[in-house]
Amino acid sequence: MNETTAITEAPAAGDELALRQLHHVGGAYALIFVLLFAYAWRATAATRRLSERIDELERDSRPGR
Amino acid sequence: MIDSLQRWILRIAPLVALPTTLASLLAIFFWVPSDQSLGLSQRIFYWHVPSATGCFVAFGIAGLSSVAHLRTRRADWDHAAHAAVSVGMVFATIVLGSGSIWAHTAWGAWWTWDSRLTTFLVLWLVFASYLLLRTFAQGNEMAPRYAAVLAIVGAVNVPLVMMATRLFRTIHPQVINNPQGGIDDPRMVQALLLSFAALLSLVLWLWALKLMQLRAAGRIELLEGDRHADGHALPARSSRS
Repeated sequence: MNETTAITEAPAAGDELALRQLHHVGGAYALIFVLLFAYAWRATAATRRLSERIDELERDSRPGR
Repeated sequence: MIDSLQRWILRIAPLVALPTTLASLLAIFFWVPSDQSLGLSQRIFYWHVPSATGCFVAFGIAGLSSVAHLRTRRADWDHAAHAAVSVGMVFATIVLGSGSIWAHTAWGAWWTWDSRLTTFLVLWLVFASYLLLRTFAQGNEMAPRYAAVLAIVGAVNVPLVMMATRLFRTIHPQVINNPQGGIDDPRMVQALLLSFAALLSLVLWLWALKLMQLRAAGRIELLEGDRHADGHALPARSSRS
């Protein structure tokens, strides 16, 4: 085996720590985005559904119907 | 008043929130220097701290709207308080989640019974009980009044949480106004200010969105009540959101 390919360089401890911290930062921001997006999506969908229901009820309650 | 405020916020807040959110994320990941002692994990603070401020603002709005509701008995104030608690809880959950992730990196534990963390958890539980009350007492005419009292109790707790790092012994870092360091690099300060603008405009935007939903649900209850009084059969579809 070629000596140069047999030697695998162990990552420095500092790099490993930085990578772990980067995973944590990424995880935190992913959590924030999922929560905010899910909330905004749910509120928008519910508002749209309720607005349609209001239109329906107001149409039905107009005089002459 | 609430109607025009809601419309104004829905028009302005997205224009502020979207560019500042994007700029803030770019600044956090590509522009600010890493903190010398906390390393990369300190970047969580840029949204953790404004999220905490955002939930305090939302809970403050809930407390003030609840006082207004108890004084006037107007449903609009009740809807404003309910919407503020709902949005505040999203941001409070973000604070707990992102804080736990940071704590796992820095302290090696997801949670510790530190004074700041414990007082914040109590605040979260008070407003969680508010949302449970709203869910399980739906239709009860006394529910808005009980909920208003609960929101005022929760809002009174906010200053205690904010001052916990000064009043009690704590291991929670003091990011702002820390004489021993904290965020001191000008780029860090600018990124934090950008994040404040993004998160606070998001709080207002989501509040107005939720308020619109609650007001629509209230309007449907009124319209269905009128139909019922007129002798129409109630339609099968539910008006609850």
